[in-house]
Amino acid sequence: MKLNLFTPLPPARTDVAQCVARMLPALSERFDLTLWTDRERVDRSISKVVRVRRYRPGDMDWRDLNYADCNLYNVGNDARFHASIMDVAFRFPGVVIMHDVCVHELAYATLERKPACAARYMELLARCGADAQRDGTAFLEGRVALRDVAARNPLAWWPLQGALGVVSHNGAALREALPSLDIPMLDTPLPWLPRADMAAPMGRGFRRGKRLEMLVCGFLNSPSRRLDEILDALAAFPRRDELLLHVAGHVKDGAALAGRIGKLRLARNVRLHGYLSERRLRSLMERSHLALNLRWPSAGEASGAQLRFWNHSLPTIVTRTGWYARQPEDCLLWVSPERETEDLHRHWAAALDDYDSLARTGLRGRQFLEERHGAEIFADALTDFLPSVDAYRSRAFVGPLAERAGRALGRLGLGEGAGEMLAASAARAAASMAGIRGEFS
Amino acid sequence: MRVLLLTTQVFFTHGGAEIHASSLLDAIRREGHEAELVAIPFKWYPPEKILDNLLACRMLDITESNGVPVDRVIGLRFPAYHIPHPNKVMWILHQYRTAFDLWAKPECDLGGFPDGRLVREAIAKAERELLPEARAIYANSLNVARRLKDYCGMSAEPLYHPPKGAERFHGGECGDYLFFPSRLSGLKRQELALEALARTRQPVRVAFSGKADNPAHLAHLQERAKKLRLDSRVRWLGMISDEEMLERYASCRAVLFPPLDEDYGYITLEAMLSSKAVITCSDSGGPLEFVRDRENGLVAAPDAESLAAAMDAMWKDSAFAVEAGARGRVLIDEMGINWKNVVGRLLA
Repeated sequence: MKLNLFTPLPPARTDVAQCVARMLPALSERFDLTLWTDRERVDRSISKVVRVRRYRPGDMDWRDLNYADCNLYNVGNDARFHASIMDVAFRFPGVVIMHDVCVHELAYATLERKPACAARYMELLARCGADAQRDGTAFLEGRVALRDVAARNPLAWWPLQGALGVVSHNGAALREALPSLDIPMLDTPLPWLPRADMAAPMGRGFRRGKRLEMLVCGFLNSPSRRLDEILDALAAFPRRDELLLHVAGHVKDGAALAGRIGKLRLARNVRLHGYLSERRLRSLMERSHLALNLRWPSAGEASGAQLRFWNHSLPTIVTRTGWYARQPEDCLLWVSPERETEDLHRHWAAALDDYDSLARTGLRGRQFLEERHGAEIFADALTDFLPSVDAYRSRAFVGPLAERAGRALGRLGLGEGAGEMLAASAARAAASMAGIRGEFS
Repeated sequence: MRVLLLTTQVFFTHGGAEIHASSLLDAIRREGHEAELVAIPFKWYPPEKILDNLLACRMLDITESNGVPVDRVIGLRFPAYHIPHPNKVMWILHQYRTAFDLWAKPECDLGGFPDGRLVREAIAKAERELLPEARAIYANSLNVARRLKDYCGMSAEPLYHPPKGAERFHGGECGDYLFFPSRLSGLKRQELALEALARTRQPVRVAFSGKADNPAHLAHLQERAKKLRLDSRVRWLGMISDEEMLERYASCRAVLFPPLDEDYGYITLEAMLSSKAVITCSDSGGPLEFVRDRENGLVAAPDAESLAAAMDAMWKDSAFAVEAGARGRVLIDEMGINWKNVVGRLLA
């Protein structure tokens, strides 16, 4: 079976690219796979095992896509990596792998690259109701931030317009966002390839008298990552001098962050690393005793970072929300959004007093990762899923055809009764072409 | 009986399909029935137009006229053959080929559009859902029936018919040219014939007749012939009258007809009615239902070298050309292909 996958690839600094790299052995074993990228640089580790092709959305030879069995699009909320992919996905229907339920920022950034952005954006929000329209106006007038509008209007439907199927790593969240979703959906855990050489759980055992090292990493620009709140909690923690927090990853304004750390008198307790290479990040994970992986509000996404922490058997504190809330109770350490500081203090104190008990959550996380998140499991699930996409594809024309007919009939200006009668007749005829019988209005 | 024939009309194009429909119309009338042709305009690009046309067909009501029922409809071409009627019989000339046997082939224009795959699947789904509405399904040839089986899993009985004016074809002298009468189009493979001609060792000459689907294609072929230095061995006759065609058939050495997977191919039958041998290819489809290699013609592999060898052989051995042509005529006479039989089956 021939598959095309449009996706960010390493060295692109995104979890989605790492996720693809992990899936490759399992996918290429089952499918005749071609990876498509809009970047010049692709890690040799990828291009030497799988065929990689470059694309420009405005210059596609559609034969390459038409003659494959299925085209898949990796879609996350970051326009830098996913806007071009959406340009192709909207023109050529395929299966969307949704890494984020909230894709509002991607939608806006995509429109921003086109003329009449504001009008198009308002058109988009008009489909979400009057409140969304008010939100949109407030954003365009500079009265609210885009992330606040996004939190209320995730636009999960936006990348799925015309799609033939969707793969979600957090099906419950997607179903909640889109209760009337009517395309085939595969709900399968985010794939991972657990590495045997990383399962060294107790080796990092914390000894009294040394500082307990904590890690927060990834894309830390969004307030939902709670970096400010973590720093506030650390400043307020009486035993803060027994803790060392490593901050590794992308922050928009490093100077401002450093200034804030100084103001909170945390210079001795926090070490800023910036964006680290894969090797250095791995080494930092190996020396850390505890990871902080908070999200609030959650965009509903499955966390690649969490799988990474589990891979290292690293005990992790998370917010009981979104995808995290559906993970096994005994594999994580929990904070509630309402009592974030108190819960953080409680876990930090417990870690300092009895680290081994906490460490067991990391061990159980690693076991869970091996059992549920294997790349093989994902590849098998995809194999089973694709026939339903084929079946859907053969009747996917009915809706657009009936709509097109409706528009043509609308232009006749026949008046309401005659127009409706004709539209129903067209809908019936369109449905009959796909073997769907019944009454339409 | 009041009978309607369902076909499509591509404006300013006249080929086998149009001849087929008008010949059937005449034959039904000759048998004493009332018959009319329902020709739906058809444009296939951009691909969504195919579905629009199909939808338009599905919305037509041809069950009666002036309060008098239409007793039988005969579906000939997609998408017109999907106009609903309770007493429909299919006689499929061919399905929409780029969605089936031509998909992913160089001739497939559908694959060049972003919605090509979707439209292809929609056509396939519609065929599977709507063809069974008919009370019987006949195919134009065994080849068309085989495709229907391969791509839609449905059976159809081949029903052969004679070419237009079959009784007027006659034999003649074994002449000094190969005759290639056909529309000039990629699927008919005039270009392959030119490439083969350039490789022949005998002084073979070819006369092409027929109109180009697209004038640019004729210009391309002529340019190719020039580049291959074939100008003195090729004649471009264009559209010729029926009389001239009969004479060209009668006085050629043999007929050259190497199309790609032809549905049926009147050319084969017309050649045999003219007592001429046929040179065709092993992937030419319909002609292979009549041409027996080294018996009433030659079947070459679909490449320039093999086709050149067949052309040389036919050129060198005029006695074989004459004998093979005579055997073709006997075969066609024995098969009893006539309109009376066709009309009887379609109206049964």
